[in-house]
Amino acid sequence: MAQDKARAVATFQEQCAPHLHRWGPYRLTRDEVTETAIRRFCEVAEDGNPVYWDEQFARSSRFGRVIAPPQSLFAMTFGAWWTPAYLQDKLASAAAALNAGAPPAEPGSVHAICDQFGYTVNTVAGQEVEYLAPFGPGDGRLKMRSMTTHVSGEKRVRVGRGVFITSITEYRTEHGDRLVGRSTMVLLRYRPEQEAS
Amino acid sequence: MTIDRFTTRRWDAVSEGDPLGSVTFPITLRTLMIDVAGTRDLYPIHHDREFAKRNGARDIFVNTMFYEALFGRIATDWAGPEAFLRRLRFTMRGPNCLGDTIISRGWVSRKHEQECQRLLDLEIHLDNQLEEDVTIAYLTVELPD
Repeated sequence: MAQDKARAVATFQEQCAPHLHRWGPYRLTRDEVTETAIRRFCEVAEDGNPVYWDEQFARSSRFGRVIAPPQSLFAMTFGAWWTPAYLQDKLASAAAALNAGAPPAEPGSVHAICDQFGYTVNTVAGQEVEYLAPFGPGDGRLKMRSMTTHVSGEKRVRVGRGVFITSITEYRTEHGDRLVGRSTMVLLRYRPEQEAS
Repeated sequence: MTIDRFTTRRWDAVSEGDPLGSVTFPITLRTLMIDVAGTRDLYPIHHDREFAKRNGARDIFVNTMFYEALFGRIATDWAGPEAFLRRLRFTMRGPNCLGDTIISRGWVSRKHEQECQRLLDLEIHLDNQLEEDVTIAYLTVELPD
């Protein structure tokens, strides 16, 4: 029984191995980073920093322009709520153009393997973001790509048995292709206790 | 020492252990609606009270991007507008729900230079009326030369 389990765990990590350290395709946000989007984000926690709000002050600052709060990176790249079909097609072509060249890793393949092993529920176990350069209006849209860097063996956790999946995501500007952020996320994928055998 | 809205703190004037300003933030329905509008997060656990309660939550609660917004604000409210957030990590030990009031406390945990950058590590704890340390954040901000 214990040996069977050890073999199954090895198989999970072995199955994931070919998918590790391979960048997935670039995704592109629908909208550019604009002053309006920045202001709506600043309203959330009532952030009055003048480099986000005041063009005159921002121009004289070391940033030389209005910038987005670095911490708005996830909000700025969150999925749009509704997009007309013809625009979805245009966006898909733009993303495809970004990915022309080297064949990217299949997105979600590690997660598909998790599903096969019954680790169907996921929750964020930890996350860290590095902000590498300011970004703001004039940089266009943002593009993101991710890769899985590590998968753990099966662990006993409070909610059942599961595996920890570590991935990194890079964020770049559309204009100038500047790397502005990098996040590392550890996701717990688990088999809920009542379903465990 | 307090500084005005348009002034950035000087490197020489900062010491490890210096306290950051405290922010008190009541979580009202308005807060949660502005959170959805500003962060674009439509997951119902943040705006649908029945959905939240059905899924074991005390009530609807602020999302992770609210914390990003708040921690970034606390950092530059204290350090000044030309400070730049370089790194952010936080742990959520419990939710901050509709009707709760968040109170922050924070301090400079480390002052160091790395690759010509003047860096301050900050630690910020959020308490609410029910418990302490409901969220703990670790930030690094860069001060200008």
